[in-house]
Amino acid sequence: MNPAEPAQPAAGRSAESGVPVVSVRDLTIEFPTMDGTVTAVDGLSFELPPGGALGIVGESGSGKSATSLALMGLHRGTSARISGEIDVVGVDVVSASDAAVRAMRGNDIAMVFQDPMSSLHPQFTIGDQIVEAYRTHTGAGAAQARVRAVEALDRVGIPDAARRVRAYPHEFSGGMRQRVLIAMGLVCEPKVLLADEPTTALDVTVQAQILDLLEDLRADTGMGLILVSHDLGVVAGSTERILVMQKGKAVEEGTVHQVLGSPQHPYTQALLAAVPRVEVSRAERRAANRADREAAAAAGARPAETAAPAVPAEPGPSEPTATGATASGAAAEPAGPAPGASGTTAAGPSAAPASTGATAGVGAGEPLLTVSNVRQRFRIRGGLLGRATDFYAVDDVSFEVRKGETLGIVGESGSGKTTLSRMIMRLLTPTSGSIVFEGRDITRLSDRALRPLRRDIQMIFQNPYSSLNPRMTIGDSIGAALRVQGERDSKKVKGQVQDLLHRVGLEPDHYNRFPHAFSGGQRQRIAIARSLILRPKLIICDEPVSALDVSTQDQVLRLLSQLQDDFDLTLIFVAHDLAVVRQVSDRVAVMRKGKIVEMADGDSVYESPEHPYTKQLLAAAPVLNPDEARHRRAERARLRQQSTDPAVSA
Amino acid sequence: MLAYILRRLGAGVLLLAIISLVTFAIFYIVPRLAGRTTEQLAAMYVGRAPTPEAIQATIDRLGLDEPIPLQYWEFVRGIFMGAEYRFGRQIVECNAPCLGYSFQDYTEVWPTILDRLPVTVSLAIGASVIWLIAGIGVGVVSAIKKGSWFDRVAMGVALGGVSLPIFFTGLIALAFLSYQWGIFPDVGYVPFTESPADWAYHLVLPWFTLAFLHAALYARLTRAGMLETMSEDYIRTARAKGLPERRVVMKHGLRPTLTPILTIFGLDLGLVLGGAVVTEQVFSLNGIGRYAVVAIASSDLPVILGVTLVGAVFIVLANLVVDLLYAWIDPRVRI
Repeated sequence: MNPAEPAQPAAGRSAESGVPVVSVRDLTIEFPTMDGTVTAVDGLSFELPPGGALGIVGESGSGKSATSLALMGLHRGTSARISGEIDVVGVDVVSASDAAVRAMRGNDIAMVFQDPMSSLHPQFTIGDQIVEAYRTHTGAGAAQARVRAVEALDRVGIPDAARRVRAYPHEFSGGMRQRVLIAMGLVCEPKVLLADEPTTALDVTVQAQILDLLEDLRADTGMGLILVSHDLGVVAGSTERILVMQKGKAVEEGTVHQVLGSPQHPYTQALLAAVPRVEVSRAERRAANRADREAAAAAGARPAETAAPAVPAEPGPSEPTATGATASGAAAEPAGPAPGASGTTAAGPSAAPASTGATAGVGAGEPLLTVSNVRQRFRIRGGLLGRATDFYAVDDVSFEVRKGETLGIVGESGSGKTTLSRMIMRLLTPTSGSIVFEGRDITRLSDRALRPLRRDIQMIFQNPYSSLNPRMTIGDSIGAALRVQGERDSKKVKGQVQDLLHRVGLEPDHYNRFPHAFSGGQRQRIAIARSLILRPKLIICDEPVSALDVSTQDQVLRLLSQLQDDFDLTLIFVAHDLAVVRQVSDRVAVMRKGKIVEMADGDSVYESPEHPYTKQLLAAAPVLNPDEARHRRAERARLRQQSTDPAVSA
Repeated sequence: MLAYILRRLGAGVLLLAIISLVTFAIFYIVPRLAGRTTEQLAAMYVGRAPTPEAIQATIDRLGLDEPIPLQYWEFVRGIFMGAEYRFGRQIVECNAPCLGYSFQDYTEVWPTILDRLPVTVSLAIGASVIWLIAGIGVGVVSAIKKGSWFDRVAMGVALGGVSLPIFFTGLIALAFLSYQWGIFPDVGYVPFTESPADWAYHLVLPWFTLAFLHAALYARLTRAGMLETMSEDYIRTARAKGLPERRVVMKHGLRPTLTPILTIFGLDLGLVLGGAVVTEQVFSLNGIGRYAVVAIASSDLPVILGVTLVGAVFIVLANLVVDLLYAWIDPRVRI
């Protein structure tokens, strides 16, 4: 069928039949903890008409996942206390018997989870897992159930389903596993599909495929869809109504066009403003950031270099008392940049020429780092006699990074971007090629000779939860590098660390605290401080914001941009998120399968992409405008029908 | 698959060679390093009143004056080709696999081991079945009813089981169940072929005593593994499919929990098959373990070597079987 039309018929159906398939009234979920009761969801109400599509949006801790688990009755057997009413296709999930809830799960309402890598049982074939779901609810025979399983797999686009039904989950990629999970959900033809962050763990092109698939299925089967996500862009193109949650409460609900077009609640406005947009250029973004900073400085809130807008928004070290204050803080603060961001469209054109001039000046700068024809080979063991096959994670990559600029490297998982950054750090030695830093060939320097160089090149890692040693105070973590480099005077170290903590928007007296006391965004600030302590010339940021909520992400990006101005840094910014990369990078390199397929200044890559892969990436990027999203979906469907290029979907 | 098995068997043979070398070295080289002469060594095997002639005869008979590498070579050759021994004028044929003759009572080692093997195997198989069923069963129930009185009592008993030695639990069991109340026979072994009922009846106490120790450990391991598995995402998926809780636990939860336990089971079973020394001693079962105890007490080298090698073979084989099972249980393991 034509994928361009699905939304309308689905909406039509929902208008006809009156009885909602899901109806939640005054739902409250509480968890008793050692420090008292935590209210995850507080008086939530919503409805889903048959065949409708509802997006539930919120940041971590907003209670959206607790809500989706409650819809499935999966809180049973835990300490959670649920009150209110949840009606799913006539079953009262709060009070029904266990047997009734089990009969409902998977049959009337099916759920697709966030992480496809861990949501399938590793020791059973996917066929067995789907068959099990079908037989549990229908009592069908094994042979018939298997036929159904193959049909379901075929429907979700698993190629060669009749054969693959016997494969184990580890034989599938992440996107394919998510398709399997969807097939498992579909096999009993549920009235509602509940998808909790179904694409968060996936690459952008795969994300687009999965969302397109969900849309198709909804149109074909007339099932309702509840799409839970932190990403407004994901929800924009796939739902009819949106419910925005904050701290367990629904702060705004309305049609997609209402909520995204003219948001009423300040939190929704802030959330929208924080979403990095692929259509906003670096110059516009920088101008907006500078304007915000100057405005803050003029207001006399704080000296300009202290990242004034960012600081109050994050929850303080997690004392329970602080959360009450930050609840209003988080709502109020990001509202600040919102006018600035919306003002960009107006201010953009006028600001752009000025900063283009600035970047032109930067562009003329001398190269700090020159990477020529580097390759990295990994040996993969396999076969009967342990024969090894060669695999090039990075294959013949060359580029230059000039002083003071930011080079964005964008690519999907497996593109070799992380391997490349590890080679520049010389954590890996390239198999061939050369890396020249400040005119010196560092490709084959010994570990000892590299040590002074470690001052100059630093790295910020993706996961702020695992990249800080939990048993060291953050002061020690940050100061360790100074000590390693020979600084003996403890007072001096402490002084420098505290100064830096201040610069990244933390308090100097956080020096003696341990990482667990900080939120994700704060940890990433700590990681940034740690990378800055040695006054490096080059910082490689490997997915520095991909583990963070949008509003936190926005703050960390602002901080990085400001620090780049303050410390005259050169950055290599590695990420999978096209929009994020665009907003921080002067030049952008697109990587795929170990090679750079396209490299140019940021705006030309995004506005007139040359390589088909870049075009495909851009077409897959989620956009906030629902009409634009549907338009792009139709475009993708057309492209898919034109050419079925298996290499791209892999 | 076949290549894997052959490679593992090859590694096993190498391991056995090393074990035999080390054991050999301990009994031949270490006493010499401590300053004992060949005569003193031989004197241990002569009897109460060693005369120089008797000692010399023993040295000749056992080949103690030959170079040590040659002695080891003779030993290895005996295993594969058989050997001949001279007792005075008499020449005795020792068929392959020849593990030599006991220094103490001149009986052939290999047939003695074969003779005692059924006792040890009966003990090991019976006990391991009990400890697997009891340990895993208790562990699973404890995990799903975490914090309940059952869990607390079971884990308390398990802690006791892990810390109480067999010579304590075994003797207590004998004292009450056998001597005091006469429910079970005290000691002895009845071959399975004679009367299966009597065989089992006589083995009940040793089985349970040996199983208690292991079951306690397995219960704790199963509980810990089960608690971890039940918090996995795929368990949530299984529940979201609407499966009955029993099926979620017994099918989706138990299988991943069993994989690491299977590894430990391979080692334990191999160890017990090589001789459950204390249990056999306590219940006077003439198995391989008891044979080894007596041999160690009298420095009976060929017996010790033989028992050690047989024990090592069991461990190597049990581990191989476990690794093959592992690949069957967990399809991600490639062989």
